[in-house]
Formats: sequence, structure tokens, C-alpha cells
Amino acid sequence: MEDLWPDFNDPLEDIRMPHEILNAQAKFLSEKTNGSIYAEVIRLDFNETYMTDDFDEVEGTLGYRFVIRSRYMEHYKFELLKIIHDFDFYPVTILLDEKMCTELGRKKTIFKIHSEFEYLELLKRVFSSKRLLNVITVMRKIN
Amino acid sequence: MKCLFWNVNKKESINQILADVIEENNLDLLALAEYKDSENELLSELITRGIDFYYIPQLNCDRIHLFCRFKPGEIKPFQETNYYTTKGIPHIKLGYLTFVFVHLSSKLHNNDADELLEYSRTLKIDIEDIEKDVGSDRTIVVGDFNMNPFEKGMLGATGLHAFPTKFEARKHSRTIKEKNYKMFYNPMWSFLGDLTTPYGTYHYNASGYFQTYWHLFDQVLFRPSLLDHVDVKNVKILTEVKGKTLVNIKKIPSVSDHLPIFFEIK
Repeated sequence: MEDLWPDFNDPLEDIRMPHEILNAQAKFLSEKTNGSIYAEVIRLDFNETYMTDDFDEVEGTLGYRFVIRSRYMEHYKFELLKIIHDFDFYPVTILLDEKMCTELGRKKTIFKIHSEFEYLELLKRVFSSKRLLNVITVMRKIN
Repeated sequence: MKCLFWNVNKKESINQILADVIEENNLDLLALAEYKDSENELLSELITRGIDFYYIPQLNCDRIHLFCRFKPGEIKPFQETNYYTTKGIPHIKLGYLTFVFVHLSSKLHNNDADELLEYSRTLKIDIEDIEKDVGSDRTIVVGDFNMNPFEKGMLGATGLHAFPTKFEARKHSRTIKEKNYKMFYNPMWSFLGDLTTPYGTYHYNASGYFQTYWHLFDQVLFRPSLLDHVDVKNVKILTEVKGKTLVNIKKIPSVSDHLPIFFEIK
């Protein structure tokens, strides 16, 4: 019998999952603030269903929340963005803070990103935004 | 604990009415959306009336303003986004309650019903995450949802799952396709129709095939753990404050485009 399967190189070797990118950025934030302000990437429990624009429910969605936290405020979290995608990774649906969207010139707070390049570009703009600087400043002042 | 939420539609001189509503209803907590008047002036006015109130400073959610009898140090900051802020607020008998104050974006003008649906789905997840974090499900969600009680984001199992009757809500959760969905009780269903007035908290004259004109966008939801402390008869939509009407001759909101909602947790 002929083996019908292709030769598998590890197809995921060079692909970074969107939440892995957020995890790496969370680490950098903590380093920059000596741990006083840090970020967490929290997996969302969608009960494995997702509601589409047509109000159908489909299975198999991954979602993560990116929150900013302070070492000195035990339960306080400010959610900066959420990412939602299926097992193809891209497109990623982004839910972004409204004021951030305004600053970045985006009309909608929910939109799709279609590639890792676009995703990284968005994150760069988000992390260097005045909105995020204000959030971190407020959190530092409360400390 | 007597509470009131009101979307005051950016009205610049609203403080006198707010002071009246706090005084007349003996409020412990006032939550506002679209508030543009001066917090300090409101507090000063309350002092002249012998009412000790505090403003809870905003952190990173500027859509909600909070005034209460509790000192800022007694209020615990929990999770927030731009659309909601969550606080732990002490109740004299029940200990700390988790209040989620919301002001979701409007779909009537932006035609973003799917965005609202997404936000209610993620709000539900956020609330459950907060409850896990603080170790309590004594949760109240209140504010301007920009959705009616019967809309999918409010009633759907993957949305806020807020039921019209205590009888159903006391089940705490239900299982659909082997997945468990927690519930809320939504007393605002009792205001639908024209058995009582007002017919809602917001009136919008629009065209289209599916139109109710009156909407109940401003709502309060309770977790089942609080049902014995909530009486639907004490949930009210106010149409006047100290004899001053909040509606016009057609009973449509006139001071703000929303009417305030009052509720009590005993």
C-alpha cells in the first residue's frame, strides 16, 4: 500500500502564536518597570463556542486577554486588548480599548488583523500610544 | 444599600438634580454615565445639605463616575476596560459586593449590533474571571447596556444570560450541549409593555421594520446569590425628583435622554 501522507517538517517551527507574542511583550514591560507594572496574558474561556455576525455558534475558538496590572493593587487589572482566533492563527480578531482606537485613527473597536506583520505593527503602535502611557502613569501614581 | 444609575447625556448643569435625587432617595451609591458637570461642586452642594458623600476617583475608565457614602479607601478597584469599571463596595450586612458599572457603545447611531454582541459575550467572560479572582459571586451589573433585556447579548447563554424571573435564575446556571452557563436575574423585564409607566428608560424615534420606540437600555442584573436581598418592587425607573419632572408632556425623557434606575439591596 502506498503511503499517502506527505513528509512532515515541523510546520509550526517558524510560526509564533499570537498569544506567544503577547507573552514576550508582557515580559519586556515588567523588565522596563522593575516589576512594578506588568502585563498578563489570560486565556479566555469561551466554552469553545463563538458567536458569528450571523448569530451562529461555531466551535474551536481561542481567545486571550492582555491586561496591565500593578504590583501594589492586588485585584486591579486594566484590559488593553483581547485577541480571538481559530486554529489558523490569522486572521486575528482584535478587541481594542476605545480610546486607543481613537488615537490610532481606527473607527471600530473590533477589527481583524490578517498577518503577523500587521499584528506586530499594531502592537508597536499600541505600546507607544499616549493612551497606554496615561494608563501606566495613573497606575504608578496610585502606587 | 440604595443605588441609582443614570446616563445624564453630558448635561452641563445637572448637579442640583443629582443632589435632589441623592437626598430624596437617601442613596448610598450614585453611578453616572456621560457626566460632564463638576464633581467638587456636587460634593459641596451635598455638604450644604448635610450629606456626606465622596467621589471615587477614576482610574482608566472615564465613561463611569461614582459617588457614594463610602470613603475612596473602602472601595476596592477590580478589573476595568474603557466600557466598564468593577469595584468592591461594602454592604453593611453582606460584606463586599462586586459592582460592575457598564456603559457600552450605542448601536442605534453606529449600527454596530454585532459589536455589542461581542462585547456582551466578552463582558460575561470578564465578570466570571473577576468573580474567580475575588472569590465571590455576589455580583451586580448595572448601567447603560445599549441593549434591551430580550436581545441576544442580554438573554443569550453566551451573553449575559439574564433571566426575567427569579424562579429561573435561582437555578444559578444551566447546561447546554454539556457546557455550563451561569445566570443573572434581570428585573427590568417587568417594565416591558404598557402596564406601567414609563415604558422604558430611553425613547428613540426610528424607522425600520423592527422598532419598539421605547427601550430598556439601562438595566441592573443580579447574581442568584443576591436574590433574597432584592425585591423587584424596589427596582424603579424614576420620572421625577423632588416634584421636578424628568419627562416631557409625552412622557419622553427630557432632562437627559435616559431615565435613572433605582434599586435597593437589603
